[in-house]
Amino acid sequence: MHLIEETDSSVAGPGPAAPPAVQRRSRFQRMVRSVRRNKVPYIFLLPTVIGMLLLQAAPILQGLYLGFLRSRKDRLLDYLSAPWAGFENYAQILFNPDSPIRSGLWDAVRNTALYTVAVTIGTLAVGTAAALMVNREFRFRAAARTLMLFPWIVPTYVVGLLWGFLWQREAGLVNIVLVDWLHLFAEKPTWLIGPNTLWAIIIPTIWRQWPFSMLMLLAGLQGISKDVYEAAEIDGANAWQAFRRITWPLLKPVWAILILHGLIFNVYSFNIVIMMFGNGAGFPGKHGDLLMTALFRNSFQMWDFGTGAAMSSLLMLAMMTLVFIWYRIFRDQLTGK
Amino acid sequence: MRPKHRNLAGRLLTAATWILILLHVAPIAWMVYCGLKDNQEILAGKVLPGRRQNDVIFLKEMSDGFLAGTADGGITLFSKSGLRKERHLELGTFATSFLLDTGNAGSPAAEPVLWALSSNRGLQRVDAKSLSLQRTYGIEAIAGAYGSAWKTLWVNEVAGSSLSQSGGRLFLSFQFKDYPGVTEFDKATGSFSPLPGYSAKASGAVRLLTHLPGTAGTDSLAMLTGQGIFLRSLGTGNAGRDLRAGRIPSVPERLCALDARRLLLSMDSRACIYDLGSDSVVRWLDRPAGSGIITSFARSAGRIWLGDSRGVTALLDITGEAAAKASTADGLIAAGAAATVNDSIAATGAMAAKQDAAASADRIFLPEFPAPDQGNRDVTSLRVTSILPLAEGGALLGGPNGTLSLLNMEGKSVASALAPSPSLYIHWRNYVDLWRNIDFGLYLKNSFIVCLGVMVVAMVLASMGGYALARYEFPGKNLFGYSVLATQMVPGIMLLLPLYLMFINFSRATGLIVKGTYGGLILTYAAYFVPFSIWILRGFFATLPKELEEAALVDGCGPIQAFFRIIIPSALPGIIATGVYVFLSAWDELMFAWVLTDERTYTIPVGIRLFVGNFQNRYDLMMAAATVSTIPVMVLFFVMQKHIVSGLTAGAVKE
Repeated sequence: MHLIEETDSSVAGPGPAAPPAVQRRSRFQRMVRSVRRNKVPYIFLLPTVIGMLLLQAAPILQGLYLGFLRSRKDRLLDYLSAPWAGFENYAQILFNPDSPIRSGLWDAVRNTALYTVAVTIGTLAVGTAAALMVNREFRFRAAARTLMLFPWIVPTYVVGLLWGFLWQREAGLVNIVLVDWLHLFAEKPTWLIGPNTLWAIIIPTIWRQWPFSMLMLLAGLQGISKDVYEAAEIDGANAWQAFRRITWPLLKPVWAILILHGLIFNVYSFNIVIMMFGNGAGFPGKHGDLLMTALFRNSFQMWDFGTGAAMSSLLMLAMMTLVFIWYRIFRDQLTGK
Repeated sequence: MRPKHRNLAGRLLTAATWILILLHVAPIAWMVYCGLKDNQEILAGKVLPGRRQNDVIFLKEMSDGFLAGTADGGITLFSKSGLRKERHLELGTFATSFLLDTGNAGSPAAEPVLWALSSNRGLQRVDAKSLSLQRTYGIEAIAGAYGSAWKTLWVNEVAGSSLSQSGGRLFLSFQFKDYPGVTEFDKATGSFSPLPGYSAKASGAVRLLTHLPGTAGTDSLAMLTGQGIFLRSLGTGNAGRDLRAGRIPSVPERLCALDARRLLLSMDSRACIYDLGSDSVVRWLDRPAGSGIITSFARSAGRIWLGDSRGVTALLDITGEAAAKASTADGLIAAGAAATVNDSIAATGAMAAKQDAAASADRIFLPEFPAPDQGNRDVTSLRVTSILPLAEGGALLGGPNGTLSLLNMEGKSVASALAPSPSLYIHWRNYVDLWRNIDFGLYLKNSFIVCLGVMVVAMVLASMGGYALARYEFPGKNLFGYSVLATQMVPGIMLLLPLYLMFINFSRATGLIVKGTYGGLILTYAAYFVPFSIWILRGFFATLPKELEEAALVDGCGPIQAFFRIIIPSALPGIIATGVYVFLSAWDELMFAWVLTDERTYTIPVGIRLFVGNFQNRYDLMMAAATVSTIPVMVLFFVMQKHIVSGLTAGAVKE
């Protein structure tokens, strides 16, 4: 079997028109023949496809379906035979201002939006700066890069645990440094209660994520040949012009990837918040609650699966819209036009 | 280009880089450091490590010197004149208490033995002459007395321990919420057994054990707890009396037996003598105004010694056995008050001239403890933590941080000394507690099993899938590619809920348990990580030259054989790098593990989450747990760093 031959045969177009009675059969035959011809890739993908159908597609479809059911806490296991509710769950979330679910949900939506934007921007800013810093030649450069990667390897639940401790009012290192050592505030600020909460989750997330951005951007920067810069210098370009004309265009596709990564990773952020605010049963407060923590509470503490599934469906829809917008914006960079 | 970097801007930029790195790594360093710290220091906001809290809590006069014991398990023998250090033994223990065993009154032991009880080492036997450790009975041996009713204690949570003895029996207890009561130790057989008739659950954790003397069979043991004083007869029957608050003026902090009937109690800044026969306070002990909280007391023939944050007041014990029997309580209180209020302070001066007068009056000793050295600076407050009255009228006083002061009978300091102390307060207790009490070893094992399982399953499936996508064109290829991308956009919580119910329903229908097993979690994770891994590995396979498998096919291999024999080995670096990335991601997963595991299969994040809920303020333990869960992935990452970095960046930059 030759690979090229196989490729050719598999993309062959539909055969010549056949009489209707035979067409049915021949289409089936063609399918069988196609499977036979592409035996190898199908066999290779079969376990993955079965696994994805069982453990991804089936639950996702059930989740979408659950959003239209009025779930009953007392009969959880018969969840699929719960009474049909139509768009009741969606209406509760979107249009009923008195719904108890909704008040907390909008806080979570607002926090998640702010959190995602702030973290993505912060991560890119620090990551780019650090990548430019490390892309120079200086002593112990390799050690510097390795040290920068440290927080990225710390598991996110440890990040939540660690920063929950660092933000403590009396015992936390942040207040010890800011107030006891640097005297920046008259009294120790409270970080984990009130409006500061959002910062208390944004900063650790940036702290954990920027090394990844740095790594990606550094790889992008190192792909640029030194000769290009030297040529630009000879042509009289200053450092800013060199950055603007050479570095920036090459970094744009990496930025695009990082923005997508930041979008998905941060909208679905869970571990950091849940670990930072106690045992998970604790409520981060209306300034620190994110969509994932709100959803988790709704589903696994209040066992309200109907609205939980409806919220998840809406969230998935929103995410797909955002990814679509992202694709429209960065299409040119990604396809290299 | 090169000289340019030697200029000022370049240097500033380099400096800025290192400052950034320093700030960036500081939280991790702090995490590791706090995992080795004491929680009290963390809560107090202390950054630098201090000395251990090694108050001198034990003083005894030996034939060849003074024996001093500190709370951190330091035992030092000082010479009688000048307090020179003669011998020293460091037990390295916590919440230690000591007891000097010179044998029974009838038959003095040939060799005096010092018993030390601590929360980390258990009961230890030390030769009091040579100061050498003879035998250790660990916490496990003590726990053996309780079978399954009680297993172990938290080294860090034990506030104190106490030891007492009666004849050949030793009694011990820990001030710890879960300790069941009082444990008896038979010196002859070396076995532990619970003391019947006392339960800490009903009466409180024991702060102090005191032996009340009596004729054989009538002696008893007094337990001081947060609820009162509990007396248990050591004879047959274990009859007892409970003196809860109400019977006694308030719950005392300290207790010692003056004789068979009278107890000396101290509460806050007051002390009294309590008579067990008449069941009432027979005398309040008054000290000069301004004397603070009583921090220690002792008794000698005819005197009661009360130590506080200023010094020691030695009061005449005017309620002897005969006096107590003769009079009513009210009369005695009046008499006691009259005798003590007057000229108790004036007695300090001109003592030498009026020795006889001094002998019949209350006296005050003001010790001169040596100045705390650098490491001790944070604990400067003077307080007398132990008192040893001497036969000739003076006293040896112990203070904080191993300080000692010897005073003569006139109350003048004649010598002072500092007991040696271990230098740094960094310890592994938190790790001991993690393994002993939270079952962290099990969580670690579970995490390793699950993550390795996911890694293997995902790599087998993903290299097959990635290869199929990279090398073949087939109908449905685009559909598959898009669904792989789409799965990354689905919130995990959406499939978690149906998955959870599917697992339970599946087990009901087939009898095969899935939820709470390694297999269930591994499959769930694999379904999540395989699509992503296929995407990365597709890139690796695409970079391999096609000639590789063409040559294999020419040699007569089938395509599947060619894949396993030729392709896998050449793509191995990429597969390993992706596998490590999957391992790291699975290690980091909390939400699915939370719902899909049970107590036998809890992974580290679930275990940590549970114990954070139970130990809200134990930052030392939390940081130790955080360190333990970070180290494996750190090591793995730095071993594989080159591969992972090149693998991830290659995929990203190419796209």
